[in-house]
This record gives sequence, structure tokens and C-alpha cells, in this order.
Amino acid sequence: MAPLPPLTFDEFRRFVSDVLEIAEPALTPQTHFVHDLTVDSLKIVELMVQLEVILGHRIPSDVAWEILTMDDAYQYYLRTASRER
Amino acid sequence: MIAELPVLRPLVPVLKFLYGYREDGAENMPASGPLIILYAEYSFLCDLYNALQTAALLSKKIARDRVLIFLAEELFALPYFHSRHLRSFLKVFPLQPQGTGKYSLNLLEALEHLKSGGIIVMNPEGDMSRDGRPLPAQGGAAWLGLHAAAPLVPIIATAGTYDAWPPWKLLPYARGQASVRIGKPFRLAETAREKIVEEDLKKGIAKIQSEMSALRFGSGGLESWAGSLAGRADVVNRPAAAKQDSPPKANTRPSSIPAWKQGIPLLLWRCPICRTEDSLFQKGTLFKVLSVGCRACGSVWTVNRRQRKDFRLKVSRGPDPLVGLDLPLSGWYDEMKRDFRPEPPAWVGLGKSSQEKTYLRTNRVKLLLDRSNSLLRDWSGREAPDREFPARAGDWRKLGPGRLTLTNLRLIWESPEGSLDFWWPRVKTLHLRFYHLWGLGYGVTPYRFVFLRESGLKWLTYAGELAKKRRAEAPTEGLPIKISHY
Repeated sequence: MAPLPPLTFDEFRRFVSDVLEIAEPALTPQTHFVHDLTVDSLKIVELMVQLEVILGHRIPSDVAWEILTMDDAYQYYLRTASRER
Repeated sequence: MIAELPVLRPLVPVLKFLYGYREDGAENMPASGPLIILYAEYSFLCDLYNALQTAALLSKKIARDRVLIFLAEELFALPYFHSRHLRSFLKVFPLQPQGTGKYSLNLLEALEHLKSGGIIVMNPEGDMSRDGRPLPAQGGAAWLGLHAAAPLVPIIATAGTYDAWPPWKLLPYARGQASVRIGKPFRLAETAREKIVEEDLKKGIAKIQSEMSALRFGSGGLESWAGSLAGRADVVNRPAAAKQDSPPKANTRPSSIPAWKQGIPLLLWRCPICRTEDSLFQKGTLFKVLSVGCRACGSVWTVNRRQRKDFRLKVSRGPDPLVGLDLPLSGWYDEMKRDFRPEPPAWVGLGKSSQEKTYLRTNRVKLLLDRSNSLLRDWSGREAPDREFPARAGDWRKLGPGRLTLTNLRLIWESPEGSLDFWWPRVKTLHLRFYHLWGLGYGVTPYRFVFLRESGLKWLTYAGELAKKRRAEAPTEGLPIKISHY
């Protein structure tokens, strides 16, 4: 079976919006998870866990520390998803 | 458990003699991981008991090299907490009450640790209670418990640890009734949850709180510990202005007593009768608190310690209807806060814009900057950097003392070394350790303020109430601040 194509940014945004329980329009590539969102730090941890689920591997905590914005998260997802494929 | 460790064994009879030390429920300790051990922290004696229990745990075969512990970030200022020796047998991670920011990502590692059968040790409240009552639990322990479906085991120092050595007292009472109870393991989920939503977390937190509270206070619960509030209606049903002989005064003058010596006035930073701030003083010996008085209205309370209960403060001098009123200390604390609304005092005068109002100012505050903070290389601007995160926990450089001013728009720190502004919309978290150490999360950058003469609790209350007011006036401006319970 051919691997599924990676999520588009809009699909990825839907995924993040679902995990963080935040409306999609609030999530742009520049959105900074700490500076711009009213989310608990625990929600950011939950986002990393859910990202691990869709990527199928563990995100080292030092790498997770570098994922600060939506764009960081999406680029990390794209890089890792293409490697996994 | 501590008697099993030869090096700690001699301590047991001493603790037994002084505090009737006992460990109940040692048989509840599971024989192997995964396991989440829950501690509570509401007294310095709790800290000692928690440290002894951890040492005993580490000596057990099942725990060797399997324990990961979350410790207060302040402890990492001690080089030992970074040492190879410690890390050779224990994983330690810093914990910052309220928004832990990037530190919270350590929970990812903790989850992996649990999944591989490890043991996690943490205080779910994330902080030390100041008046002996439980703090609202944070989500970390519940989150781990749900994701890993691991059993949680509360190891809780009983309520008597509070009156034996309350956090506002410099030295402990020589005697008391303070033991440790090890609870039965419980789970928050039968199988590991793949995804956790807010509702799951709330239920998990509530379950943790009820299990911990039952061990700490016993069958009588919190109400029995606090004791009777009889007579309180006399106080609460009367408007504040009717209770005093003179109008309320704010910020009379800074105390000349170092904060660590002030005692009960660290908690009661405002007279519960006349509402004057910084007016209470404590009398007693090094080991015993005898009374508390108010310089402004002349009221005097006799302090009674009751073992395994909250302290009682009885009005022995004051307005006639209140003489004889005997309430728990936590009751007086609630009474003190009841009608508190921050008001700018008469001496205001920063010469700032008409929208900026000054509420508090003190000259004796030290600022702690993380050593990687760019201000230590280039202090040209006034606004504090908000995008830098420490490379190493607990690596602080102390500056000052300087002058700290709290306005409705910002916090200002001024000293010969430089001046800094912390604008409230960019302040994400604010926590208080003990009564003197403020931790401020400015964006993702942590700062610390050490109050040398004043109660940090007073400042926290002002900041918290002003934050509420700002949110009410402009709900869309900035983000809510996560702030320590006050």
C-alpha cells in the first residue's frame, strides 16, 4: 500500500486546533505557542505527544524545545514525515 | 520506609520523640514500577519528611536507577543538582510552579520513563501552601497518570506537620504530632489514554486532590483541621469601614524587620480588622508565637497552637464587639482578603502617563537574572527580554537591591545597575516561593525577585487582583496570567 501523502498546512492546522482546543483561524504559520495562545503549557506537551502519534516516533525533548511556532511544528512534521516515508 | 535505610535509622527515634513520627501504610507501596509517587508540601517539616522518604525509596532495590523526580527549580542553584554523582542514580528535572514553560516538556521524558516501568516522584500542587490548606493541584501528575495508566501512590505528611513548622515560621516547634501516611495505589485510567482532553484532566486532578486530602486530614477532612469559624459572621457581615476606629491606611511604612523574621504578618500582610497594610507585628520567642498586634488600630490577637489543627487567633484587644472572637489563622486570612481591592495610595508619584497608576513600591528587592540573559552582556533598553530561555536551570545572577514599583501597566525595577520594565500583557506566569521569592515568566524568559522587607504574598495579591481587573476591562488584550494561589 502506498504511504499516505503528508498533511497539507490546512489539515495540519485542523489537527493542532483539535489538540489545543483552539479555533483554527487563530493558528497561522507565525503563531507562537507561548506568546500568542491562551493555552496551558500542558497542552503544548499534549500537542507533542499527538505529533508523536501521527509521526510514529518519539520527539526528543531537546527537539521539542525548538518547536515554538505553528510553522516550526509544520516544518518539523514535513521533514520527519518525508524521512519516515 | 525510612527505618529500612541504615543511615536514616538513627533519625527515627528522634522524630518519634519530637513529633510522634510514624509511617502508616508501608504495605501499600507496590513492589515494582511503573509508579507515580505524590508528595504534598505545606510545611518545612513536610520537606524534610519528603526528602527522607525519597532517600529511603532510592535505597530500595526496585527503585535503583529507576526514579525520576521533579524538584523546585530553585534547588538547581546548588551545584550538586547538576552533578554527575546525583545523575548517576537519579533523574532530576526542574519544576516551576504555574506555567512551567519549556520545563513542562520534561513531562515527555517522564512519560517515556513511566512506560518503561520507571518511578516518578512529584508534588502535584507544584508549590508550597502558605496557610496549611491544600493548593489547587496542577495538571502534570494527572496528565501522566492518564497517559501511562500507571498507579499513583500518595505519600503524605499528616496535617500536624503544618503546626509543627509552618512556612511563615523561622524555626520549628520542638514538639508536635506529625507522621506520614502511604496511601493505597489508585489509577486514573485502566488503560493508557492516547489523547487527553480538558475534561479528563479535571477529573484526574479532582481524584488526586481527594486522595491526598483524605490522607492528610484524616476522616474529619479540611473542616475539622481548620476548626470552628463560629463568630465569623460578626466580622463578615459588617462593612470594613465600620470595623475600624480610623480610616484604612495603605502602605504605612515598610517594615524594618527582614521578611524571614516577620512570622504571621507574612501571611496577614493587612490587618483583618482595620485593613491597614504592613501594620501587623508578631511577639514571641524563637520557638513560640505568643501574639500578633496591629500598630494602626491597636488590636491584639493571642495565638494558640493546637496540634494537628490550624492555629487559632483570638482577639484579646480591639473593637468591643470583636474582643473574644476566636478564628483559625486561615479564617483570618480569608477575612483579610475578603473586601480587598487594590487602590493607589496617596503617596503616588511616578510622573507617568495619566493612565498609569502606581500601587506598590519598595526599595529592598533583589533581581535575579539567568546568566544567559542578554541583559548581562548589553543592558541598553528598558524592556526586559522575553524570548530567551535559560540553558541551565538555577543559574542565577543576583542584582541589587533595587526599587520595585507595581503599576497597573507594568512592573518597574530600578537600581544603579539599570532599569527594567515588565509590561503586564507580556507576563505569562507569576509564582511565589515561600513568602519572599517571586518567579516571573516574561514571555518565555524567567526572572526572580527577592523581597527583603515585605511579604511577597502582598505583592502577589495586588498583581493578581490587578490582572483580574485588566481582564474584566479588556478581555481581548494580552493573555491571562497564570498566577500562584493567594
